[in-house]
Amino acid sequence: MEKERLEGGLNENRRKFLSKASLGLGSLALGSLLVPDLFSGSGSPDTEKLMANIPHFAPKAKRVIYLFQNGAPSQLESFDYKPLLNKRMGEELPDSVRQGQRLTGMTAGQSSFPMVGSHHGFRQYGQAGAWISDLFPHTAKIADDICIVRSMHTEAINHDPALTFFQTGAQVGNRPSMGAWLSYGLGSENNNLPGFCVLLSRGKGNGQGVYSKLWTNGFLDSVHQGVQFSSGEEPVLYLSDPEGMDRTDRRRMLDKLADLNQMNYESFGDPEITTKIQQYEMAYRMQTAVPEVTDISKEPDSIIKLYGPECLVPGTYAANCLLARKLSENGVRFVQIYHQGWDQHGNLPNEMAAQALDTDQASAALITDLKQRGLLDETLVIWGGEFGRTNYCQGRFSADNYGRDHHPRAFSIWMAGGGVKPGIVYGETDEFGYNIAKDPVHVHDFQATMLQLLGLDHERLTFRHQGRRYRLTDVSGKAVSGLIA
Amino acid sequence: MLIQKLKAVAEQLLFGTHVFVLVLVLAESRLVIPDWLHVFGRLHPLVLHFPIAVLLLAVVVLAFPTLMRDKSDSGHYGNGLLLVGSLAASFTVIAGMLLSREPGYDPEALYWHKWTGLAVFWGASLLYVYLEKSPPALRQAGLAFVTAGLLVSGHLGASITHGEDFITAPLAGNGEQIVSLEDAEVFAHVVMPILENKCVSCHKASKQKGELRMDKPEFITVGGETGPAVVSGDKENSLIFQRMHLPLEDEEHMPPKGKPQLTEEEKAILEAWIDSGADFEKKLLAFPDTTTLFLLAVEKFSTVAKTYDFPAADAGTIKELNNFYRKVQVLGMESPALSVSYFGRAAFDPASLAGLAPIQRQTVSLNLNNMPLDDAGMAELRNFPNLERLFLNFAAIKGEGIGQLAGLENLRLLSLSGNPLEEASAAELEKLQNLRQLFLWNTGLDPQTLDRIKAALPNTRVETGYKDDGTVYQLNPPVFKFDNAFFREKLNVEIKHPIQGTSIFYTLDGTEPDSGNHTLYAGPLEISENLTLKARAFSPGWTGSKLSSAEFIESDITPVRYEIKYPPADRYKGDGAASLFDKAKAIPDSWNLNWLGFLNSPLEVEMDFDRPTDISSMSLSLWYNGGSRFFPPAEIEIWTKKGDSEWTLAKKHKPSQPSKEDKNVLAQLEIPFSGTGIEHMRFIAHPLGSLPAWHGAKGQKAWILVDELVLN
Repeated sequence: MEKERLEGGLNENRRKFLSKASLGLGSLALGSLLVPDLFSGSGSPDTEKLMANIPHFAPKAKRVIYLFQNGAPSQLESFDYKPLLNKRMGEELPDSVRQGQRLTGMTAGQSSFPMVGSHHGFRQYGQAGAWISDLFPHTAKIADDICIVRSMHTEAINHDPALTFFQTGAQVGNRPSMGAWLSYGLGSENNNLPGFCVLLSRGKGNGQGVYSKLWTNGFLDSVHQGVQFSSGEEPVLYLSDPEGMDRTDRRRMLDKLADLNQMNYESFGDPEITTKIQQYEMAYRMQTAVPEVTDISKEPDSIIKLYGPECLVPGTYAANCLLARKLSENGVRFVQIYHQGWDQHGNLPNEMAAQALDTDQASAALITDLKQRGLLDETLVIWGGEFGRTNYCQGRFSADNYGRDHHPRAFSIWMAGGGVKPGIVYGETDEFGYNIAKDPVHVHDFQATMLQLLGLDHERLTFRHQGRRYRLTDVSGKAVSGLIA
Repeated sequence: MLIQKLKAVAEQLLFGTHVFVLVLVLAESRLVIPDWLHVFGRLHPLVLHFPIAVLLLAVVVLAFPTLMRDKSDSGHYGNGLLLVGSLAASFTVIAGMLLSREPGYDPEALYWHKWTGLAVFWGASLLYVYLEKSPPALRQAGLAFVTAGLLVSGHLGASITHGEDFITAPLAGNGEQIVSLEDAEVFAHVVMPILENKCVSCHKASKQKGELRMDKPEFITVGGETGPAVVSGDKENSLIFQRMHLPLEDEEHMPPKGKPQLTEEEKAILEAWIDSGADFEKKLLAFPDTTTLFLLAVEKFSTVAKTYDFPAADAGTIKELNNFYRKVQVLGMESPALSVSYFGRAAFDPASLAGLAPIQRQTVSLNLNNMPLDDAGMAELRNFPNLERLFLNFAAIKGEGIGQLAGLENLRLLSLSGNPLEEASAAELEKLQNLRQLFLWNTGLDPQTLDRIKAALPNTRVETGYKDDGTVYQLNPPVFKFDNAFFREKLNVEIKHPIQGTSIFYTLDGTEPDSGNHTLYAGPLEISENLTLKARAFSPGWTGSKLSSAEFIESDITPVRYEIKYPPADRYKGDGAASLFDKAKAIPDSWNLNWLGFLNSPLEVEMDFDRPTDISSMSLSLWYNGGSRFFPPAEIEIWTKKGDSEWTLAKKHKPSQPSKEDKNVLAQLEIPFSGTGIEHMRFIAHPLGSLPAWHGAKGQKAWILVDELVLN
């Protein structure tokens, strides 16, 4: 091999020289300018072990399922019960509470900020007496399995930067997302499936877009990129071989292709070529692995009832939850679900009820289902949006129909399994539900906690790029021990 | 001269303090100490350092005169240091006596500290007075006595403030046994440590206050002179509970005033333990993870990482054993333990478990979910001595093979959900007493058998999972399968439902299918006229589904060429003119890419037909939505032309406009036009320029949202 390479180098012709000079040498030179120690190699044993996908310490969770409620569900109609807002319904929000904090462009022009309490009732559930709104009766039933965090806060006030911040740790989108970091840190458990899968669904409420930068690999190797599954009847398109081509033909074709790519790699040395070979191989194995994983015909009837009959309709939230369980059960490290439609600037009581109806049963079913298979202990499930919603009304105010604007200062999420303390409520907001009163959890804290549960130290999970080390939690964040069992 | 005078003053002061100390010692608690003196008392921990340092220095100077440059200096300096040291000791003693009168100190612990302290003070003073006159032997003995007194008294004092094991604690800590969550017992590892810290010092074999011993479980239930300390499940009648909740001032309050008190958390744990039956043996994991006791206690163990005594496997071996269907992972950088997962049911070979021989000792977690492993194949599992977690969900296990697991002493979690277990498997499961978690959902075992297993495994959390609780859910609506809703001549429509065995009732006349009025779906429908198909699904054990409905419209004629004069608005631009004739039906969703929207310009389309064509009917597929300002056109014009002649206006039509009450609908707007031998046609639809008076935005422009132009 080495000899051939040397000979190939001697057999230089003009075309080869020029193509090398422009692509090879040029990019090497540029690379060495941008990455000064490109040729010195990374030597720390920590990195080497990470390259072998060994966690920093024994993990509590092996896999993550993130039920992202895209658009920011209101905490005040879900998990943060504020009776004071009902008592003082319609009264002006005192300046002493808001203290001039910034507003979005949508309500900055509003002359009045009438406080508005939840139209939907709340009741207490579980050992911790967690307050949960009547919109989430199924979630209420699993109150003892989940950990509700009512003191999340973030830095961004609009959807795109807030989503990007949650997923990648930075508001501008060029960093790897959580799933990519995990795939980089821990590798794939099942080599026949991608380590990071993305499932999309859309509710009836006012929605906000999702886009592939939310599951990007950023500067990490592109094998770590999230693979978006189709919302149609076939989650992965073009899996079956076309007519006239059988498995052996496919295998021979891929072998030849791999040879060609290997040759190309030997002359250019671009790691993306190896990635490409790996992707083709993975796709070949996915041809048999995916149908096995996505087949729901063998699920027992009780499962259909547990998730609700919607789970049989491809592309619904319920179907995605079921698929998420099946993927996770089959070793997919990070399953990212996005459910759109939670942006209730107006008509909140009705839209929120419709959104909850679409998601409540399946979210709770996922927990119950993982639990009865003994998998909840090692699977971390997260439910939540990118920020919260204001305690004052946006637009025209009436007690039974109102809207809420974006609110990054305090919002609620829940987590379950994977080493999170079950059945607790963490953190508190003030009685107006505007500011955090106890135990704030910043997005970076949340990310650090998640990594910690997976056996990764967020300060050691780094990647060197453009002359500095990067991490998911940027330069801050602390794992919240109060959340870890 | 000055030194002499100072010495004289100091000696008199020392004499004075002796008198004061004697008064304090003799008066004991009969003396009332004014508050301001307590302030001085609290200086005890500060001033005590002076006599220790100064007296020790005096001892060194006097005992080893050779250390001095001039031997005679020894007596000189030693004498002065003894005086200063005694004086410092006097202040320390006084402050200490005052401090001891404050509440919160255990008189027993103070006793020896007080008397050794006094001994140091008196000893040092006597030594000072008789230093010159005493024989050397006596002097040395005196020095030794003061030194010993200092050390003992200082140590006893430190024990009071820092606790008895303060110095040796770091050594003891190393030997302390670390208990993992799996092994933790409620009494031994949660309750007993509390009792040991707060109760046992007075209630033990050597000291049985109230005739109660709490150092062994059996004595706790027996109790003391007033009765049993704990009554199982009845905290109100348990003396521990009663005593710890009495007011601190009450004489009966436990632990007594002045002793370290129970923290709120400790009280909660004791309460929860009594509530849960005051069991002395159960493992923590045997309690459901929702009980108060579990939640309170679990925190004490969970953070402890488990350590193993087996060596790590060779990294090369691990790498070799990994393949596409088997993943061997190292648990963590510092851990020798491994976890193994199998994937791909079709590729599974039970013999591959034996192939793990080089790492069977290191494997603590084994995931064989969805693998067709049967009872015979389970024999190989005996060779994983350190296995802690075993997942066998949806394998092919009936039960016999479970016996092979009996020797796995470390097995804590076993998941058998989804296996067709036979009743006999219960007996095998009942032998697995070391299990902490057992998952038996969907195993075919009846409720009685499950209850029996639960009873036989008191230390195990047995999870039986979700059972259909009889809640009747609504079926989801049936799904229609067809090429395009706008069809040429005829169309095949299939009706499907994701749940097997549902009956689908449908109608073709626009009425809702109900029990009296329907056709049972049997196979694909052939549709050859405009109609609306409505269907609902029914199945025993479910409520009938909501209605599915679809409109099918015949559209036979498509122009060969067509062109839009004004482009549609950017928001609703669809595929341009092609959207008008693509036969696909748009859905009422403004994100749908089939809609063409016009606001400021009319929809004007010019069509060419391949030959003179007869058109008998015409309609425009529209979306009316008042709130979004989607309205029918204000006016429609149809122009035709033959060959190269001029365009002629063939029809002008003003559609009727909806009223406030009209609902949002997708509608076919019929255009009363027919013609024969048409070669070229121009169709113009003008948007409504001014919304009607009833509309919230009256006077503003309205949209036209068009899907398809239908020609027959």
